Amino acid sequence: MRPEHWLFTIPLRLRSLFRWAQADQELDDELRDHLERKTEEYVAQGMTETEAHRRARLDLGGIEQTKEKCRDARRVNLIQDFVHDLHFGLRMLRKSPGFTVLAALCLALGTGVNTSVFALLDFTMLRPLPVPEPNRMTLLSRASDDRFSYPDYLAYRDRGQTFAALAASFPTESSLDTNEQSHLISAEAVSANYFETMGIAPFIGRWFTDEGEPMAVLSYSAWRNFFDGDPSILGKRVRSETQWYTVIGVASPGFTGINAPIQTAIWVPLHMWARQYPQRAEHLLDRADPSLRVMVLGRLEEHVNPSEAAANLNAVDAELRREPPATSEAVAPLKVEIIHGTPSPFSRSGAASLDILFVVVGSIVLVIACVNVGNLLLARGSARQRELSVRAVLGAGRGRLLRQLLVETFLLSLLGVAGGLVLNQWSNHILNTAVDALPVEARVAIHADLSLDSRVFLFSLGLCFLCTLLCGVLPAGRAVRRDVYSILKGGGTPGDRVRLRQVSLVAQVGLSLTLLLCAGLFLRSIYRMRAAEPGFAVQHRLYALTYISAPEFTQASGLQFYEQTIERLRALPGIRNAAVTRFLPLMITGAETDCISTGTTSPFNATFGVISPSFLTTMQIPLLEGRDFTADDRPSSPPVVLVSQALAQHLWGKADVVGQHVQFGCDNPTTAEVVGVVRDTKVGSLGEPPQAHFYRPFAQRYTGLATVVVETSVDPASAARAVSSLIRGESSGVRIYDLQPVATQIERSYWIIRLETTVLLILGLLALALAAVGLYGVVAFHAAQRTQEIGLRIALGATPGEIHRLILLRGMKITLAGILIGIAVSAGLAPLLARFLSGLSPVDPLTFAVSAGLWIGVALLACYLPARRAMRLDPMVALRYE
Amino acid sequence: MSKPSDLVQGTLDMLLLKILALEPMNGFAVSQRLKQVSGDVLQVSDGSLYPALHKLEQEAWITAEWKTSEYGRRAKYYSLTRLGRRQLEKEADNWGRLSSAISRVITLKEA
Repeated sequence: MRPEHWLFTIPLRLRSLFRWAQADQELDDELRDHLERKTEEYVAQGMTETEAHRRARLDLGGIEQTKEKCRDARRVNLIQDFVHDLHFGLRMLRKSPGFTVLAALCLALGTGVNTSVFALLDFTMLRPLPVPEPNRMTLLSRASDDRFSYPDYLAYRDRGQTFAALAASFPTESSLDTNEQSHLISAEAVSANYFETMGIAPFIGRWFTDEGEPMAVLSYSAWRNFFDGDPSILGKRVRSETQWYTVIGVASPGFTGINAPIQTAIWVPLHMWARQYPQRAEHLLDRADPSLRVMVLGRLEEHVNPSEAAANLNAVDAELRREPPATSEAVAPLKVEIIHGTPSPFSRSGAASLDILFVVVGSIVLVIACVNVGNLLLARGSARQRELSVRAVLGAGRGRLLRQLLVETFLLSLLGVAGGLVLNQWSNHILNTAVDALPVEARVAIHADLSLDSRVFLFSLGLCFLCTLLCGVLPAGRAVRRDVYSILKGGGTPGDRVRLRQVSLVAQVGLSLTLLLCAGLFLRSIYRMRAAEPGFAVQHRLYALTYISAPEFTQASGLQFYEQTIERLRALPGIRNAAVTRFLPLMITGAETDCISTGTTSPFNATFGVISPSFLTTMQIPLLEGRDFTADDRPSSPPVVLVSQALAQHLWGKADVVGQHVQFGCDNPTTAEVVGVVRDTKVGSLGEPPQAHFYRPFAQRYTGLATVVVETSVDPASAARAVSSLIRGESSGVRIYDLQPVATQIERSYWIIRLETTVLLILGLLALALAAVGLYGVVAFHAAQRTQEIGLRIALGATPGEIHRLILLRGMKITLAGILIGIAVSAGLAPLLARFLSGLSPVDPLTFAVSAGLWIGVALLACYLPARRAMRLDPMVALRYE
Repeated sequence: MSKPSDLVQGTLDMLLLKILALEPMNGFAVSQRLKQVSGDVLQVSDGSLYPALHKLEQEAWITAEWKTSEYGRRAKYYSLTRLGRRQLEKEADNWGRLSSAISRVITLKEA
């Protein structure tokens, strides 16, 4: 149809819609006029008046039907019917509040879970960066590496032709000092064009103009939290690490940097930041030895797609590789990808398997909820048979009845989704509380924004339609397909309907068992973690995360500070031993990794720890071969390392490796001598197999951010105050971020899997309850249907035990079929689950047996009640039934 | 039963437009004329005539107004609009091409 044609028809449609009564009256008049004329014609042909009238009506094929067709031709019926159906649906829902509340609650649970899952998925994978034209924002990577040397970045920026702007960013943990205290925060050291590349405007102030100026931009939340939203913040000086910066701007609330879920609190110019680390600043422009590798973000030129940009950059890159210092090494091609979700591929890969697990679990819960509501609707369909039949006889078409039933289901879904959104808010609150329980060093920075936004809202609306289809279509189809006349006569076989309910029940039992199994497996793996030996002493140990920096401390005086602190701590009453490490094992942030090789083998990524000489004795980690680090391992002495058994095995295939040499470092390897072999400890998680791990002396890899550990002979919590005041001492430059017993830290190390387990367990039990209620319903219905038969059996001498078995058997058949399906589904999920269970086989007989046993117990209970009722049936009453 | 089975889909619309193109008339007259001109070959029941007329009206191809007839009776008279005339030309054109193509095929001499 041509557009102008549409224009002509609009007023006609509007007239039909709003002047409906008049149009209908005219239709009436028109058909009456037609009938009169036709009658006259037949009379003229010699019929009697009544005969002529009858013929005229017959010709018209039923006045009401013809009218209805004319109304349909006007295409306004659809809208009117819909409004009418809405009214009717609301009335029906109000009439049976019990059913409505139950069904809406089911759907609320199902959709609420999925709204949260979607919010998580959106946050990690889908959401574009909160900047203008986000579909032009890209991130550069090579293979799985998203870091580039600074000179490479400069070359891409200056020689590439496909980017409107190319920015560099180095996300790092940092400190921010306010008047009273110091905060551990996340910072980004960025190129001057960073904000220009993002294309966003500052909330107040301005952006950088030059990488060399000591200026800083605060994030909105840092400005609110640390400076109370001080309106005169611009021009004030703040200190981050060793450097003083003048605040020139505050970013708008929506922009939290490129390192989500870690939130950037402060942006500083790259060169100013690097100046704090003489080594780094020196090597910043050295291509062969990049001390600092940056993320590169690009805003594409308009109408340039990522693959064109990648082709251009790869040409630049090839040219760059031919220039001195030329390297002949083959490198993977550069990739240019549009940013969705969290930009850092590292956090994305971490989130991916969690996302998949939650999507699978969410879908299972949604299907269970919908099947449940579908079952309720089926049951209701039986109760409403008569009503529907009467309406069918009175001229309602099948499609019309179907539409009306679906509108009712849609209203239910709408209620459910609204409830789901409320639940979603509640679960976000729980999640935030869980995040608050995180160790302080991660909490300051992490924030997953899962709050309701328009995308989540749209998704919910989509869910609403999906629910309507999932739970409405089948029951509605069944309800209207019925043979109208046999129902009105009082007959009708509900047989196939019962069969349908049984099939859906088997599915429910199966799916809920799957959830229970998952929860059980997670639970088992938590217990295994609890029972697992970390490989180091946990009790009576206390740690303090400390940070010192220039101008109070240089590298030499900082090292001296830590060494003296250890000596002074050892002298404290109640303290047996003390040591320094960069990070304790099992920290939630994960261990540091570096490339390592024997020089002849190809390098691979191993975790490493940085420890002071007394660390192994303080933590009771046994030294198997060689010697511990000593005070003689100075920054200037030859580099040495300790290796774990697993690493020794991996590199040399033997345990006796003292005196061997390794090369560590990915870009510019350092050769070091192995001076000892240490027993394996857990590094990243309690569930993991032995890790290839090595240790470097604190003196040879000094950092201002370090963890002091002490062994106490008293309760570690009671020693906290003394330890804290000793470490702080007189110096104003010492900051303590976290002071906890090591045992607390170990507890925290599995909070993620504990959170996952809690979620799975709650959902699994919910699904169990839903399915059990469904089972009870079907068995009870079935027993009630067979009342007569059972009465007859009792009258003929069947014992109560036999009757009991008869009913129980019914429910148990369904349950067993469901259990088989559940086990099959779980076996199918095994590869996915294996990723989370670190070591535990996802096909764990004990967990399977316990979950199946639990289900059988619940099923017996659900069948027992109807069976008992049947058993006590009075045969006389039963036979007279109906 | 509602659609004339031996009438090619969409042809009814064209026939109605053509009849109304001759002169404005009411529904009853349309049904009479249809029967008359097609010589009882095209059986269009009254039951399908009115919905078809209403559909054409909704498409703005014909317009209706209430007039008093020759015998002092009020009746709804349909007449063709400018859009309707264009539509008729288009459909008649299509029909001409279709029917001549079909008759060319049908009149092929069998070997």
